[in-house]
Amino acid sequence: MNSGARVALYCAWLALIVAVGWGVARHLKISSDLRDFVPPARSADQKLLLDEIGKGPGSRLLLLAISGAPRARLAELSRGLDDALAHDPGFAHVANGGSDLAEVASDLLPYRYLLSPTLDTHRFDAAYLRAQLQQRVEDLSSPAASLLEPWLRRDPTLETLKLAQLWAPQRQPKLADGVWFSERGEALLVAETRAAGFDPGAQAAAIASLQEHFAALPGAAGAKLAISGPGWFGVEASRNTRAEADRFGAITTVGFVIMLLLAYRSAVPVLVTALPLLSGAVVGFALLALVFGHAHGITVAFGFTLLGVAQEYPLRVFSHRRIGVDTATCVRELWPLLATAIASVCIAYLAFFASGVAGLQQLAVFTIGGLVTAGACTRWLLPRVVPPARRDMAATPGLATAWHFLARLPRPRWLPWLVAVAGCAVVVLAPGGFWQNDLSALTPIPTAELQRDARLRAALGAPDVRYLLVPRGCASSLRTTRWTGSNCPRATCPASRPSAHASPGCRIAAIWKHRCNRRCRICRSALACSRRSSPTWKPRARCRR
Amino acid sequence: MRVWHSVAVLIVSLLPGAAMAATPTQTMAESLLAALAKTPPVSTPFVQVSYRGVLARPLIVSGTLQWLGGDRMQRDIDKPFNETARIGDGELSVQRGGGEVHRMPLARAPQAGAMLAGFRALLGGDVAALQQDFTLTADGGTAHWVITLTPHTESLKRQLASIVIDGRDNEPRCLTVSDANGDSSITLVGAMAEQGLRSAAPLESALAARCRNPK
Repeated sequence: MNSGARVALYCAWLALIVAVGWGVARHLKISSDLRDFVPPARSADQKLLLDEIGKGPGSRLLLLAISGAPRARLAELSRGLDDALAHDPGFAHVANGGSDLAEVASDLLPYRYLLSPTLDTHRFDAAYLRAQLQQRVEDLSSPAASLLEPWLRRDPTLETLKLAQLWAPQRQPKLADGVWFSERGEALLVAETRAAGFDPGAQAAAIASLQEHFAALPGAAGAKLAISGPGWFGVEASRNTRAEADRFGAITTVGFVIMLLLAYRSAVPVLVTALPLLSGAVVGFALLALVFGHAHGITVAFGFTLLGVAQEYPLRVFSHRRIGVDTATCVRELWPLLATAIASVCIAYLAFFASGVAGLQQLAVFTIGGLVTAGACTRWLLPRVVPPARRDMAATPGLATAWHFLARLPRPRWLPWLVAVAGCAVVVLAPGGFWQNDLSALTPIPTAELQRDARLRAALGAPDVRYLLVPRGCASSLRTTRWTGSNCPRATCPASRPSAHASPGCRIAAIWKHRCNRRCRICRSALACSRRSSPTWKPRARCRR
Repeated sequence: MRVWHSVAVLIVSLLPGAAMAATPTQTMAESLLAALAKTPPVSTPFVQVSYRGVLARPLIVSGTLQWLGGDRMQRDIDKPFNETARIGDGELSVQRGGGEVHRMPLARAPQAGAMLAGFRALLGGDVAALQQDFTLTADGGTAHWVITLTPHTESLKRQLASIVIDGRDNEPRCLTVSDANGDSSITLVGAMAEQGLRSAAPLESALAARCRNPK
């Protein structure tokens, strides 16, 4: 094969890689949802946990603090940001303390009588309504009338207000100029993104849009916006990790090229060794696109690391070539060794496929496909593009000297024992705990940010995302279910009333249980009359009449 | 918004006597108000007529307003029901007919806080503090004068359209508070309150005319 044909084949190979790579890049979606790397849910509880981790309001909450300006300006900025986010489709809710009850509780308005305890003790009849309306007239002359007036038409017995009082956290941020402020004088806001909390890509978009809104506010130039919450941490972590990976990647690439140039004293290995690796990568991506339709960012990053093994295949060929021996012959002699290496690595990676975790399965498909392709390219394509060897690697100056030096080193029999004893001593005598159990030690988030998150969370009374409260039975379906006698969850509701001394979480759980229990009673008492009239639930008071 | 009414009513009721300036300008309002510094405690009877969109008839309450000094004030309603409302220590508390006392932080009603600050500034003779939230204008003569407070901060504007104080000679007579949503209330204080209303359901226009009537 003459050199012209080799160059032509090299170019054709490269063009094919570029063409396939371009086609794959157009079709393959790169996702960033970390739940791809969590085992699939097997029970309803696990499914709920996964859903809540990703999509629950706790994980979608961003805590915002604006500082660095006089209080009046901070309040204006808080209102401006509140207004901007309220119109941003990327955010489901935003609150800065200035919103009125109507905004917060309008979702609950249709269920006010189910949730509030009023009908436990009162009949909802004409006399009760008349007395309530009379009180409302008197309320209209009281100093608090402006808070009540918007509600009178829709909720004359003020059940929503009772619920708001019942559910209000014990600690709330103080209000100044109509918005929340922390003890340190920062204006506080809470924003709930529509994007899942553990989808760093979507969270990054939401946060970028949030920062744009803030920067566009008049007078925002001097003020500082601090963001916290799971979404922010996800974005920060991926940004830090990516920056570090890019830096180390660049260093190792340069080092690798220098090493190749030093070892082979020729540009050919540098130009050629990349081709089997790149071929493997594009085939791996193509398989991902065909099998899964998408790939996780972590799969891509980690897959490339695993695929790096393929770099070794062409290097082996280069290292074993001799002057006068055809490269194809050399590869053929090496092939049993290479094939064994490829097969054993592929078998190892098959274990990923059996894990059942989507992200790891993608990893297995990508790596195995890539390695097999890289091996095949080394075996059948590489010999046709490399020029014949002009130098025997064994003749590298200093190589023989180095080999002899290593061969002459003493090999005392006691050395392994010494190493073993030293190893055991390190294990036994090492200061500190042997196992690190603290998962937070794995986070790339600086401690200062974690502390700020805890501080803002405490100031805002925002939920702690570590705990998930699951009231069973009717509570979760209360919002959506039309209650009939048959779906009344009577067995699932433990009888308990909320205790004033319980922690906020327990208090809410107990309130839910209490409501749930009451709904069961209403369900049962409604059952008798619903059989006579309509199959759906009706208010108890009406049943009794 | 009632906090506004109460506080504003107090301000007016406590005006000792309007020192009239010759020209109907902002300076006139300033000189009027600057001369009003007063020593607590002071009290006045009041009659408040509220015209609200949700009510078919005007709501009439009457009783006594008191300024106890500092940020403390109290409004006692005697008719048609008993209610005591207090502002003090950053809290608003309302007790009706000897029943449960309802409390809420004044911070929940930031406008009330701002107003209270203005109120203290006013009784302390500090017109500049009042002008942080309001634009002051004045008009009329000794037989009938008017001071108008128009809010210029956004948070106040959302709730309040204006506060108008009518008076004669040394005596404030009426306070008209117009909410941003179109509701309004007219409060008679001092001698006007003692005279009482001439109708069980006075028309807003008739009552306003009575406030403006120099006789």
